Amino acid sequence: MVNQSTEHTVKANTVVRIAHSIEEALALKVQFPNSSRFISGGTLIQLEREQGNELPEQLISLERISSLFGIEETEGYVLIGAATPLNQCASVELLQTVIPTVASKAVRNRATLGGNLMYMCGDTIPALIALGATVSIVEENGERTVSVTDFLSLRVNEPIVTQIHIPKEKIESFFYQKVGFRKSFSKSQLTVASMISIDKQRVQSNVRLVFSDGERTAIRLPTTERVLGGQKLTKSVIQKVSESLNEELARIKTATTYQRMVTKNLFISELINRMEGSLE
Amino acid sequence: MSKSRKRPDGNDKVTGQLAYLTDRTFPEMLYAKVLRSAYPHARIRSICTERAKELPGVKAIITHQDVPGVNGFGIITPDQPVFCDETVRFIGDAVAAVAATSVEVAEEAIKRIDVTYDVLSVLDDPAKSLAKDAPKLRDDGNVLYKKSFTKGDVAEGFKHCTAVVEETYHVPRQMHAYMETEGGVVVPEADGGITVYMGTQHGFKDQFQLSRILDLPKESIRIVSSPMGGSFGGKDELNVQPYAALLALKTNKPVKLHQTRAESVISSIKRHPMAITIKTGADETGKVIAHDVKIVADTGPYATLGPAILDFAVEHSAGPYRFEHVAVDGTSVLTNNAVSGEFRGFGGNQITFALENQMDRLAEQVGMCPLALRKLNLRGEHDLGPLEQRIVPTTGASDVLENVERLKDQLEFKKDLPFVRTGVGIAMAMHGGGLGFGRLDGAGGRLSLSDEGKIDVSFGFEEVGQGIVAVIEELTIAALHCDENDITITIGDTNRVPHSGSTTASRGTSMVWHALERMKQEFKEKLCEQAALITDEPVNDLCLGTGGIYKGEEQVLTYRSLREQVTSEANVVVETSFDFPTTPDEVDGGHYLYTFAGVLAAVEVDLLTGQVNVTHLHQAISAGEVVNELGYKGQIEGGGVMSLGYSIMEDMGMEQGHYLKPNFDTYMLPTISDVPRLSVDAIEKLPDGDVHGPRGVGEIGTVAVAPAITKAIHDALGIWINKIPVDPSTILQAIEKEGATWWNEQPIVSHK
Amino acid sequence: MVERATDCKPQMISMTLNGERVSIQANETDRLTDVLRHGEPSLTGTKLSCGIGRCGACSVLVNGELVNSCLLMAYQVEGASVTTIEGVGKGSLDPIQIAFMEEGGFQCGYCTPGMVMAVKALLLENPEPNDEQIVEGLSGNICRCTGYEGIKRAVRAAIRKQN
Repeated sequence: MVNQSTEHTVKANTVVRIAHSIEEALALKVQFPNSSRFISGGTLIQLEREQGNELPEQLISLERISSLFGIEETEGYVLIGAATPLNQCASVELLQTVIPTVASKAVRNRATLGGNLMYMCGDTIPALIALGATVSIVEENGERTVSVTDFLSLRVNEPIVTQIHIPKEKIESFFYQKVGFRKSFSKSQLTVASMISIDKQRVQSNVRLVFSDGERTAIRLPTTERVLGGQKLTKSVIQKVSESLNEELARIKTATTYQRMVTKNLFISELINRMEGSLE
Repeated sequence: MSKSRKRPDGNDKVTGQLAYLTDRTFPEMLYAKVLRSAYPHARIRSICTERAKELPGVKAIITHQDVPGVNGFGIITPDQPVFCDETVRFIGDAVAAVAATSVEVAEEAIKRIDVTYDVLSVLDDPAKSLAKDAPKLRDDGNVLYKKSFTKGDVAEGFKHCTAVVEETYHVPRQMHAYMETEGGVVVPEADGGITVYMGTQHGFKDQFQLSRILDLPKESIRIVSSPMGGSFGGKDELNVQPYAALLALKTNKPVKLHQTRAESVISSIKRHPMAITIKTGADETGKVIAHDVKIVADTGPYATLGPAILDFAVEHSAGPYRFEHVAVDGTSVLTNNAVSGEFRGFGGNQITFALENQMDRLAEQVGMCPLALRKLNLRGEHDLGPLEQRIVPTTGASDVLENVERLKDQLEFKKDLPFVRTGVGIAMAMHGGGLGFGRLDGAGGRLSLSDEGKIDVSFGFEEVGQGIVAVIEELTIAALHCDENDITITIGDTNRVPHSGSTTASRGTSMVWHALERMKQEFKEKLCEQAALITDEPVNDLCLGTGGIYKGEEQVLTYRSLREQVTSEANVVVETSFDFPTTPDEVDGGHYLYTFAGVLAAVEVDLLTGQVNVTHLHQAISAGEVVNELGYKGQIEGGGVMSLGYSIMEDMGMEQGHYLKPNFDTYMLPTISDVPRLSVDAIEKLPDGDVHGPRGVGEIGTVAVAPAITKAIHDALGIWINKIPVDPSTILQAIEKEGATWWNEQPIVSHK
Repeated sequence: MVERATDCKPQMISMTLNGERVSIQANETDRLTDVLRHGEPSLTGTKLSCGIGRCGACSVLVNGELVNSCLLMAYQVEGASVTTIEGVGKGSLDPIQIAFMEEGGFQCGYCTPGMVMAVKALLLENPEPNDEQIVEGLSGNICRCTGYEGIKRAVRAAIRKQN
């Protein structure tokens, strides 16, 4: 039984401060504005640590704030506590095709939607955008609700995400596919997600098409959404959508040829699947 | 033989009780870290350790100045510096090492060692290394080694060919990715020697190399090398042993060094990436007349086993076929990329990918079924080996081909799925075991009756997961008619084992069998002689059995009792020493015993994403008798999946001498969800009169998988693949180019 | 306000480890794998392979759930129940372990503790998983030796043994 000697330490150890309420967490952030980071499950922080990023001087743990956990439903929404582990979020019907694609079961027992959002990376983000999700955030000057897209334009790891609200929609309207480098437990090469509601054979105008490059880009495709919105799904409409996708994806400078081709293929095949009647 | 005997090391492995060498700890142990180069190619201007020395908890810092013996290692040629003094030649080159009271202190100390460099231009491609004005990585230039082989006259041969295929194939740098990284503990002993508790596939060779580096006699160096959490050829060469050893001697304390995965990625050897250009021609019947092969291997900056691997690839350039005119030209080129070295398959995987692809393209050109083309050119039972040397007669080639052909006919693979195309492909390989003619390929073993009254069977082999321990147990029980409880197995400790050669080259099982064949009779006689003296029974009435010596059905003496009453230990020990069987023909590197694999793969290609899903992988293996069923199957199944990775997802790419994929989040290994239905048929029959026993199957399951998969892709889409791992982007672009999209006025797959 | 982290001494972390209530000295942010392997418990059954939660070799159960111990810090298991491979089949072998031995579910054995924990977690959640669920449950554990076929056989045998 040998312990490494702790007689010599290289630097002062990181201090972990456990917050038991949002207020306490915010106060700690005010106290240590530049030397602290929020942490909940900590899967991303531990990974980065092994890759050479040192821990900050202070870690403010949100893991014991009970109000951040749990899933509720109202008439129009599913409300998910930001610190609810992803495996539990898999009970939400609209997330059932999304959650199993993220990392592995063991990671999903620790990773959270809040963590994905606060670090602005994760395969769940394009899904949340397509679902039209909004997030409750708490900052120094109070609580407010923003769309996921707006949230992503804020500063990383600053506002505390407390809850994610997913509007209830028909499950057939939601499409999500992550293309990894192998069948499971992989980074994403690209992710597509869409919300296409069809009523009386017409695509609703609130259609959402989302492309992610698997890294930090997760954006809607508004031009193509306008081409598709309000239309009946016919072969000629789908062809117009395809042309629009070609153009709009080409304008994303950071997207590779492969990402553009597959994104187009996946959206078009989804439209074909939703179409009534045959392609011929 | 029970064949399905459970592995003797099973209990400790499934309970977590087995202490791997990286789990070991010792009192007063220090922790070591190695400082590696900041650049792939540079001159070292200065090394300053002053700031690091000041850090509390640092007990020793060493550089090239602290190497008492040869500052170099390498299984054949010690050209890789233990510590670089003038030049660093790849990003994993070692410059210094630290021993400290904790890993944290050692890591910080490493950061405080100041090294200044003059950066040199990076040769990150064999073409750059071969360019006229390329900087020289060695005094004599950038070619490590060349090997060629000629039979007949290919220029003449091509004149008679009506179908000719010429293509260049690229195969990637694959990483072993053993789950246990390199390391362990080195303990200084009271007599001034050391015990090295670190995994290796050849304990006595590590002893030899360390003796040279440390300037210590071999007898002072004890290597405890087993068990390992995987190796696959990657832990045969020396790796971190010298650093821990030097630090242990300097501090006179045990020193632990356990590489992180990131450190292992940077420093470990890799499979040779190769560019292989082949021109093959056949007549209108499909008989191959001429076969011209050029191999360029990226061997990194140091030799290790680069030359032997090139030899192996050159030897296997025509595989299991007999071609009239053959010309092979191989070049192993030095670069500033990762050191390329020994890896399961040893050059066979690379050349087989190219060769089998050639056969399939040729079949298409000739207008023949690929199986028929192979049969037409296949070797016969008594044909000479690929270097025109005499080899052990075998029908393995036709046996495995027959097996996959039957399976292909029987199974229904095609499915009608939206946006998916299915295909089936077959490939085959021939693989030489042992090190080849002219190489030191010594083997040996020992049987003894131990103090505890157990039959101790001892080999200088290591258990890396291949199941050698189970094989030893199985074969010993069969040879001596005793019971598993009568046996102890001693391996992996240079203080206690005989020389058996390396645990590599698919030679383990074979050598164990040969050794026992040589020892069993004498051992039985010795024990029975002693038993006769003790019991006064006639020696001819006695034989070995479960628990002891028997006269007929009756046990007359237990092994323990026998041992207690024996006057001299020498009376109950038998040792043997011999060489791996080689061809009688003086063909350098030529092999003698070959195994065969026939592979059938089925794939689904996703037309939307270009991704390939392997749905079936079947292997027929000809390697003689199955000794341990679970072990045999495990080796083929595991080898098959390792090569599935090689085919569709593994590529340790480097750019400007830097790794692109530093850990398992970026370097993709097959998970359980990537793995298809696997099946294995063992074809045990050997020609009458074969005296060589069971062959090793450590490598054969890896060799022919990639070309079977790429042929299946061709079957699905009509696209030939020249490069692995298969790139979905390549597939998508080929689909779109051929107009085979599903919705451009020509829907080719109905989704309803 | 000057922000300087105070010099923090090791803490006592209380947890239930393999069924036993213990109090272990560790720094709050020590990696759990290191605490288990090199700290007071000295339990080296849990292995370290990638260190970034991408291979599963370090898998343990925390409050009955499968996690990668390399992604956890000591403070995060305060008050929790932690089970390592040493806590499986204490006294007599677990049916999962017997199945692994009988079906060739291991070769080098280095991924095996983590793999057994993953199977344990799977069967605790669902005693009769189908093939798809087995694959999903084990997708986070890399094995380089077996090709997973022996592992699948072992899991199916373990399910049979349980019932």
